[in-house]
Amino acid sequence: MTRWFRRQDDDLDREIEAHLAAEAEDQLEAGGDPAAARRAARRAFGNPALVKEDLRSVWRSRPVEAFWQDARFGLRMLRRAPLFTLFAITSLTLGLGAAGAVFALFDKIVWRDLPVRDPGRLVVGSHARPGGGFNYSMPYPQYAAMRERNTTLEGLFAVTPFGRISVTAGADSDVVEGLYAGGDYYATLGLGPSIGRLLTAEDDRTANLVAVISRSRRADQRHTVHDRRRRSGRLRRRRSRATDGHHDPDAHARSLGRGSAALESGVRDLGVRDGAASPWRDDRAGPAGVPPRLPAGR
Amino acid sequence: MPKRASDRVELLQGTLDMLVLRTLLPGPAHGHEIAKHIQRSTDDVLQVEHGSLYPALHRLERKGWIAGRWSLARDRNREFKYYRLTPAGKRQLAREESRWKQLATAIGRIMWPAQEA
Repeated sequence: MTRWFRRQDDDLDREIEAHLAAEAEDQLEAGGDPAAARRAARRAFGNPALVKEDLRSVWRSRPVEAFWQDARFGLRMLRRAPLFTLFAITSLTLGLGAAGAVFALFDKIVWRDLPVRDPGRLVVGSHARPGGGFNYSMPYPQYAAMRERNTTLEGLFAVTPFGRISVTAGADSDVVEGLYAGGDYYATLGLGPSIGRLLTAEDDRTANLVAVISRSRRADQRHTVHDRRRRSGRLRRRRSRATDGHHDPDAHARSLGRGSAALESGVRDLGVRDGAASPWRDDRAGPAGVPPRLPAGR
Repeated sequence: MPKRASDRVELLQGTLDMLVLRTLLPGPAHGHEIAKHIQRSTDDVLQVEHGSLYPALHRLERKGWIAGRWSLARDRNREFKYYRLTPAGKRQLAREESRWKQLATAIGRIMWPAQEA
């Protein structure tokens, strides 16, 4: 770019030189001495420096030039009002920094640090009409059809909220968030049990409800002592009131710990009759959130 | 001989391009010739400051209306950058000419209404 400008500059210098010489020759023919003729030629030409300046603005794209002028002007104004500048820069820095920090935290906790195999390849399924918002739940038959005809995904499963339940193991009892999950849940997430067994696709076919007790990572530390007892204890389901003070949000089934254990509990203990409470039957259009997993390399 | 400064007329904004294009219509010319031609043809009424011609020439060249090439002058022992009108330049000249005619007619109707009637 600079070379191009220099070539244009040289070109212009030659042009101006030729012009001045020609004009001087003409003036000389009209009479007078060479020095006076050259002066007259220069007078007729005007200011060469101004002409060159004018030409550079023709060569250079004007918007770029104007941008730098604006930038320099802005900097001068900022220097003239230091207090305003201080506040402006501080608030911008804080705002950007906070947004960046929140994103980094969210990214780490929600997307990268899920305690499952290869969390980066988990995605959330949704559907939307043009102009409408995203819908993250769909009728179970639709999910079932997707699972059957799936060729692009490594696996997909359905989940839907269950509500709060209290879990009692021996003398110990806790209130946790429950989650209905399809049989492909653990296989797709790539989780294994530390004791007992987890849900499998087979459980979907038998239509028996299976309870899986999982610990969240934080609840892990608090409840380690009672773990073994709890796993072997009886399971009782009771709708807890919202005012129940023992609610542990960490025990949400999203945060499935390493120590997930399966209890094939009596359906009666859960307070439901033979599969009747299952939100999904092939003939029922219960809602199902579908987080599928992309195959490796996507 | 050059006229006194008070007799000279400032070039109307935007007309220089048209005059340059028109000057190049018969054939290629270099900057000095163009300036001289405009001055001579108008009996020195239109005084083009020679320097102001070059930004115009380069602007026209950039727009592709004229093309410049260095070659030896016929009447002088010196190389000049000769500009010639391109086909696009000819079309532009026609456009500017018709616009100028419209403008002149419109102004004429206000200034000399009797002649129109």
